[in-house]
Formats: sequence, structure tokens, C-alpha cells
Amino acid sequence: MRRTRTDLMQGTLELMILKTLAREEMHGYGIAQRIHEAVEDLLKVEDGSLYPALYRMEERGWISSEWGASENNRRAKYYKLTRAGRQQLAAESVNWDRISRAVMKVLQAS
Amino acid sequence: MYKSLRNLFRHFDGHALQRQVEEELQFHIEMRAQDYQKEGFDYEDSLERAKLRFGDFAMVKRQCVEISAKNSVGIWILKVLFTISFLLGVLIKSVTPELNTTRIGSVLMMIGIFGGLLLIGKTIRMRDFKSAPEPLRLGLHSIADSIPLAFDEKGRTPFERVQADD
Repeated sequence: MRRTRTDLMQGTLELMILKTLAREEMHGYGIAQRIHEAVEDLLKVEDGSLYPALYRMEERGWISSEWGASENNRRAKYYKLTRAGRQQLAAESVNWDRISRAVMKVLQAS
Repeated sequence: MYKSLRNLFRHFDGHALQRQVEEELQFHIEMRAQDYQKEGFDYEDSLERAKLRFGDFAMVKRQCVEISAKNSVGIWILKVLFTISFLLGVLIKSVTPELNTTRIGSVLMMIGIFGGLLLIGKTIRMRDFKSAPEPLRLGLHSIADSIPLAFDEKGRTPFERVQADD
């Protein structure tokens, strides 16, 4: 049976969230939209999958959250990167670059 | 200071936590539905599409509540308080042989033991309704369906194999 589902590698979604929050603080929907725009329909991330990742990242201290008013004046929870999150982003970016180069080498060799 | 205290007490209130998670997720769905409406879909259709795109609302809510509750500051403080009361009870019982003080020690020990058991019970209940084993692997679908991935016998992608080999 052909598999058409591409599983996210552990931490990939977290890396995308960290990078998205590096620019500015955002609510969950904003993060989802920004990621959606960035991947240009190459990947489709189920919206709900974002939230457990956000909560886990907050628990790890990479992001912090605060309730505020959204652009349409609704109450929304805003997330922002912490210092630990910035360090994590830097480390994971290097790691991701290493892995992607390794995979490319494998693919080009075969 | 007030804000921190308010947040701290909210951690003790499971219902408040659930309401907050629900409000956040509901906000997401409504925002998505609004965007669909801007694209020309009617309200009912927009909401339906937004819900579909979101995935399993109840499951996501449970996961978020569980993560928040398990690691909340409130639970951590309770653990510390129960441990302190137990140790204090042991200390009082062992140091002072008088009847009244020994009773106080016993009471403190019991508070520590029962409190600890309650927390353990709560953790187990939360684990029971945890339904998604791999939350970070949810819902990423490749648009390029025609490109099969080279899965090995364990079902790992090349990315996962490289990471495992490191």
C-alpha cells in the first residue's frame, strides 16, 4: 500500500513555531496562518495539531503566553518567544540544516 | 504580583483551565470561519470547513488541558507542600515523644500521604484519557501524493533514520 501521509519529524512543527514567533508575538491562529503562508501549500498542517505543541513548548519554557485583545477586539492568547526559546531556535536551526544536508546526500547518492 | 497570584490560583481550578483552552481553540475556529466567509462561503459552510480543518476539537482540548494541568505551578506547589507536611510529621513524631505533639505529627504525615496519593490518582486519570500518543505527528499531509517515501521495515522515513543513526 502506498503511503501518502508525510509524518512530521519530531520537533519539526516546534521549529516552525519557534521561527514564526521569532519575528513577533502572535496568537495561535496567527501562527497557523503564517506557517500556512510560508509553506505555500506544500504541506498541509491540521490546525488543531498546533496547540498541543504550543502548550508543550510553553511548559518547556521556550515560549510564554498572555491573554490580550486580537485585531478584531476579541480575547485571544498571545505567545512570544523566551530567551530559552531563542536559544532553542538557534540550536534546532543548525540541527535541521545538518539533517537536511545529510538526507540530500543520501538521496543524491542513490 | 496580582496577575501572578491570579494565574497561580487559576492553575488549581481545573474548570477554569478547561474554559481557557476551549476559548482559545474556539477563537481559532471562529477566525478561520471568518476567513472562509471572506472567500465567499456562507456562515454554516464556513464554520463546517473551519471545524474540519481544525481536526478533533475534543482530543486537542484534552491534550492541552492535560499538558497544562500536569505541569502547572499549582500542582508543583501542592507536591512541595505535601512533601513538607509529611517530613514535618515524621520529624515531630521522632523528636518529641509527647502525646499531643505526636498526634500533630501523625496528622501532618497523613495529610502528606493522602495528598500525595490524590495527586498520583489525578495523574493516572489524566493518562487514561490521553488518546493521542504522538501529538507532534498529527495531521501533516503531503500535497504531492504521487511521491512515495522510502519507508524502512519499521515504517521510518529517511529523516527519522538519519536522526536515529546519529
